[in-house]
This record gives sequence, C-alpha cells and structure tokens, in this order.
Amino acid sequence: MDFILEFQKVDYRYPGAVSLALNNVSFGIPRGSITSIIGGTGSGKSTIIALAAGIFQEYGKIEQGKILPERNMEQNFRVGAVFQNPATQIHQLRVIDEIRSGPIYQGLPWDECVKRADQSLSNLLTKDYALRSPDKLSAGEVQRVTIAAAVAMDCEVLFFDEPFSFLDTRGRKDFTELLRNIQNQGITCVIVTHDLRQIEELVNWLIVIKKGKVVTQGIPAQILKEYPSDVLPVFSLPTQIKILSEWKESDSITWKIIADLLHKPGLPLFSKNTIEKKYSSVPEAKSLTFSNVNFAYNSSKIEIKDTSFSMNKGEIFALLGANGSGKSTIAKIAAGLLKPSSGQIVFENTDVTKIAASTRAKTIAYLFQQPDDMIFCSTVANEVALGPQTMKLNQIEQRTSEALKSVGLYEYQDRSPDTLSGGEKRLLCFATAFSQDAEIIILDEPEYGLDKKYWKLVQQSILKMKESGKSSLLITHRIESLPFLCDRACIVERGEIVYEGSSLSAFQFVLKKEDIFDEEAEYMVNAYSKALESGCKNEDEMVEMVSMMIRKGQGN
Amino acid sequence: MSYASFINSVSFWPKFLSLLILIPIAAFLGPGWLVYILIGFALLLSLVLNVLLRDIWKSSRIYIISVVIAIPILSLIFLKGDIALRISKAIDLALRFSLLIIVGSEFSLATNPSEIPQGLLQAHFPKQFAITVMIAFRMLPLISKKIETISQAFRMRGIELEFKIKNLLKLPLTYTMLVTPIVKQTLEMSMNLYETLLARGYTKERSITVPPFTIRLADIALISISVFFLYISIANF
Repeated sequence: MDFILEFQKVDYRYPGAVSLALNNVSFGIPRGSITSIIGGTGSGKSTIIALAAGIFQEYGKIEQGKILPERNMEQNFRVGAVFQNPATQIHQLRVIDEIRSGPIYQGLPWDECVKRADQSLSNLLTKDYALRSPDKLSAGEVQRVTIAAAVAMDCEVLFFDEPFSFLDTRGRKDFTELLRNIQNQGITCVIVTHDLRQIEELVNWLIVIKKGKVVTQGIPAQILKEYPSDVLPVFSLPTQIKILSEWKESDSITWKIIADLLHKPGLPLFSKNTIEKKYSSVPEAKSLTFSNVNFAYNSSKIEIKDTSFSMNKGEIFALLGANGSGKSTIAKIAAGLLKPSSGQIVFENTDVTKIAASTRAKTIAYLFQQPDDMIFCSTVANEVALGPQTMKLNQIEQRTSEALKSVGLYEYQDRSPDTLSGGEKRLLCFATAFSQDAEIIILDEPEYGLDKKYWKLVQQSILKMKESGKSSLLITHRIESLPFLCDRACIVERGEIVYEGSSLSAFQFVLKKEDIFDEEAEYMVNAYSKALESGCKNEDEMVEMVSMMIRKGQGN
Repeated sequence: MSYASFINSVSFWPKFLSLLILIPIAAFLGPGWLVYILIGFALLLSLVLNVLLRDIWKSSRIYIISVVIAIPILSLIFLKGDIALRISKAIDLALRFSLLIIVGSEFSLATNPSEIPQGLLQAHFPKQFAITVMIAFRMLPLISKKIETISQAFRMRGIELEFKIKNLLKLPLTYTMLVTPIVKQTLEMSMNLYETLLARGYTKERSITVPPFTIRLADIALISISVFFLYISIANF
C-alpha cells in the first residue's frame, strides 16, 4: 500500500515523564484516504498529531523508531494540523493574515503568499472574511480558517484533532461537506477522534490506539468485525446495531429498518421506566422561572429577547441551539452571573440577581464548559471542600468524601487535579457541585472533550442529581442523548426561545430544522419514541434492544 | 470597528511618523495660533480617516477632561505672575495636550493591530520581536475573557470578589487564589499559540517573507502636510 506518512516502531516520551506516551507505534496513512485514528481519552492521539506535524521536534524526543518520509524542519509544512480549541489555534489578528502566515513563514515571495491565501480563502470561505477578526467568528468558522491556512501551505496531509468538540449539530454536517472538498483538492485527511458519527461513511482507513499502543489498523468494516469492543462506541447507532446483531445483509441498517423493527410485536419491555412514567415522574413544583428576560452586553446589540420559561423541581431541562445563539448567556443569567436589562429570574420566590454570590452558590452550581476554568486547589479533596468551606457549611469532611465517592474519585483525593484526565476533571467538577448541595445545577456542554465512557459517567451523575430531587439546566449539542437524558427542552435561536416542549419533541424539532438526517429524521424520532416507550434508559440499551430483536429473527 | 477610505490606505509607518511624532512635535514647538490650525487639521483628518468624531470622543474623553481640569489647577498653583496670564497659559497647554490625545486616538482608531507587527517587520525589526508583539495583541482579548470566566467560576463557589468591608481581610488570599489558574491558563494558551506557529511552519532559523513597503499617494500627502506644519512650528519657535 502507498503510505503518504508512516510511523515505524516509534517510542516517544514527554520530557520528565516516567512512562512512554507512545510505545512501539507503527501505522501507515494511505495516500488520498480519509483516515481516522480513534481511541479513548489519554490514548496518545494528540501526541501522534504533534509528532506528525513536527511540533514536538523542539521538545521531547523520539527514543526509537522513525516517521517516514523523514523530514527536516523546513519540510514540516507538508503536514498540516487543525487543533481542537478554536480560541488558541489562530495566532494572527485578521483572517487573511492567518491564512497568509504559512507561506510567509516558508519564506515564499510575497506575491505567491498573497495568491495562495486568496485562493485558499475563496475555496473554503468567502472573501468577505478576509479582514475579520478571529474573535468575531464562530467555532466552525475558526475551524475553516485554520483549514484554509493549512491548505495555503500546500500541505499533503491534514490532521484534525477532535474536529467535532466545538461544533454544533449543523457544524458537524457542514464539516462532512468540507472534508469531501479537501479530499477533492488531493489532500489526505486524518481525523483523530473518539466520535465518528456522521463521517463514518467517508472514512476508508482506521487506526485504533489504546494507552499509547496501536491495537490494529485497516479497513473500517474489517476492524468492526474483528475488534468490535474497541471501536463500536465511536460509531453511529445503526452501525453499532449492525455489528452487534450480526446483521446478515450486506446493506447498512437504516433508521427506517430500526423503526420498523421496534414496531413489530414481541418487543421486550426493558424496564418499568416507560415513557409515561418518565414524563409523569417530573413534579410540577416550579424550581427556576424566567419571566420576560431581556439582556444586552451593550445598548447596541440585544443578546436575549423576551425569554420566558420555567424549570420544575427534579427536572433535567435542556437548552439547545446553534453556536452563538445565546444559550450560555441565558445560563449565566440563570446563575446570576449576568444581570438582565429587564425581566425577572425567580428561584423559590427570590430574585436570583439580588442574592449575594456566597448565598447564591448554595442554591445554584455552574459547571463551566472547560473544567480547568473552575479548578483552583492543589488537591482533589481541597477542591471539593472549597465550596462548603466558603459557604460555611457543616460536616465538610463528610460532604467531601461523599461527593468524591459518588463520582468515583475517592481514591484520588490526595492527588493534584492536574494529574487527572479530562474526563476525571469533569467528574471532579460534579463532585464540587454535589458537595455544595445546590438545588440547581447548570451544565455548559458537559460532553465537551469526553469519550463515550466518560460521557456515560457524566450522564449518570446528572441522573443522580435528579434522583436526589435537584434540577439540572443542560446546554448540549449531543442531541442523540437528549430524549433519554432530559425531560424537557427549549430551542434558542438568535437570543429568542423558538420552541419549548418535551425532550423527544425538541429532538424532532432539531432534526427537522437542521435537516441533519434528511429523510431518515422521521424514522429516527419514531425509533427513539418506541425505545423510550419500552423503557430504554440510554442509547446503549436501545442498541441492545434492537440487536436482540434482529437476533431473535424478527427483523429478517 | 472597520473603517475604509482613501487615507486609510496610508501605510503604518507614515501614519505613525505623522500622527505620533511630527504633529505632536509641531504642536509643542509651534506658536499658539498654529495649535488651533492643528486642531482643525486633526478634526478634518478624522473626516478623511472616516473615524467618527463620536468614537474619538468616546475613546479619549476621560483623558481630555482630566487634562482640561488638571492643567489649569496646576498652572494656578505652580505658575507665577498675573492670574489672566496664568489662565491663558493653562488654556494653551490644555489645548496642546488635548491635540496630542486626539491624534493619538485617531492613530489607534485608524490602525488595525495587525499593521503594527507588519510595520515592525518592514522596518527590519527582528522577526521574533514582531511576532511577539502580534501574539501579545492576540492574547489580550483571550486573557481578558479567561479572567472573566475564572472570576465567574469563583463566584459560583461562593467566593466574593467585590471590595466590601466584610471581605477586606480575605481579599488578598482570594486574589492570590485567582491569580494561580489565570497564570496557568495563560501559559497553556501561549503554548497552544506557539504550537500553532510551529504548525504553520515557523522556525527560528528560516527567514520569513516581509510584506513589501510601498509608498502611495496618501502616504506622501500625509507626510508632506505634517512636515510642513513642523517646518512652520520650528520657524516660529
């Protein structure tokens, strides 16, 4: 096979680290392919990008093995990289300067730099973006600018580090189009991710990595058969069902097939938690009420318009909408961090904005999108104890240990939070909320940067809050989990609530509006509805149920 | 804010030389009547620069008001002689300082921060210096956003950051705690930006392309007018 880039028995260690980050790693990236490197959090995926793009030639060292073709620093531009965090992957002050920067750093003639940048800009964005500041762009637009910058460098291989982390549902769909566009320009694409939904059909080479070692590599269909447990979580539900049920036919499983199967007689009842129970279990007592809330950062631009909704006690309420639609602003107003220009936010007959920070924290906990933004202490236990200490709550030690036990971090209590993985840090944030014993917890995209294992643990933590009668306000782009996880949802568009209803109906609204699954959307909603009716509590149970139906022979 | 006009095509260095060096020197060396002409020129320039007077006023009012209040008071205290003369001198000085503030504000409003590192490269400053300046401009809004988020996270843990009498004793400790994550995250952000630089093919060794410096009609016009004012001011000094 013709590999454009090849790792041969590479051992890599970070400076000062005891263990190897990559251990005897060998794989190849076929020329012209869309390759995906998949693996859980901390498996070494980002290290591979940094090595391939030549970023780590300056620090750390490859102890053994080599990367082919061997390149010097001058040739590194052949491999481009698009990083995960939009805010810090643009180092220039205008879009056009960012796109020009690659050719400029290569020392190409000025006219050539301008020509390449203009061409790349018109291929991937529009010329209107040229003079815009990166701070005014959405996550998807920033991603495009970074890709355009890499393309202008005339790179042959382009790595994407977790390209979906910051993208909303629409952004994910646009990314698939973008990927085709880049491939058509003759560039080999490598997507490093733990989530292949929506792009799985484009991927024609798969490399599975686990704890710094390559488990396997090859054609996705083959790997799915041979190593299902290692790769299944990153694929879409229909693919998971196809593999688990040992679907005999060569065609893929569609949502229509799934919906039909779930409507056949003999569907097992998964648990007593049927759809009627799920929704009727929500008590009607109001927890947090927004009444005609308006908000503007400055007088010229109104961010939130006449927003009204209320959350019930013990309810998981979702805020959905595209990037920049105003979800986080609403959440921050709810937390009392931003003051509305008019309207009221009431929690149990008290105006939230009029409560002092120290008192408010006893009522509302806020989990920021990036856990690092809310971790301040030197040990895990101190971090969890910080809130109760500040609020002068009693039994601090007991609260701390109980909170840590509930998220499975009790054994880590003496460790520094810096030594935890991204997923563990997220769980630590939950522990801080548990220890504060807040009545409402606000979660800003808790799925950010998490693989399926940790997302499941986070969902369990949210459900634990619900069980103890607490309410959750959840901002999420992971709409596939919505019907199982949430009770109700509202959809925000340009600062206005355009829809409010049950989580299933909101799910339907989003699918139709965004045109994400095209004609499959209706069947998808149908299948989810039936799965909920039969008591499935999460996507895994739904996969299991449908697979069971197929295996029983009722599907064929 | 984005501005586009004929004069906005003035390159960084002529703009810098004219607005931040020649005109301020002319304003301080020149006779009183020239200051009025220069103020008129600065206001006219704002029309040509397509910078709204309202924006100039917004960005410079605090300094202009301070100067207009402070200079007469200081003059009355420290200058000797007739009161009318002291007031006239104070007005003259206040006008000169206000002019300085106005042209400084015009420069900042008509200059995109990205022009500064490019200008430094054109003036053959070391590339490391120019890129450091650019990264600093890029980092400022990122750090300010980070500080806001981390402060909000503090508040959500019940920690008060406001200056209140009951908090005064706790504040030093609170702010020390606040600084640690900010420094840590700033370092992380700078590492990420550095990695982005490397991903764009930047190396210490290789020389980079410098945007060409071209003299345009607008550059010549602005420099010529500024030199003319400087000449008049020196001639009347």
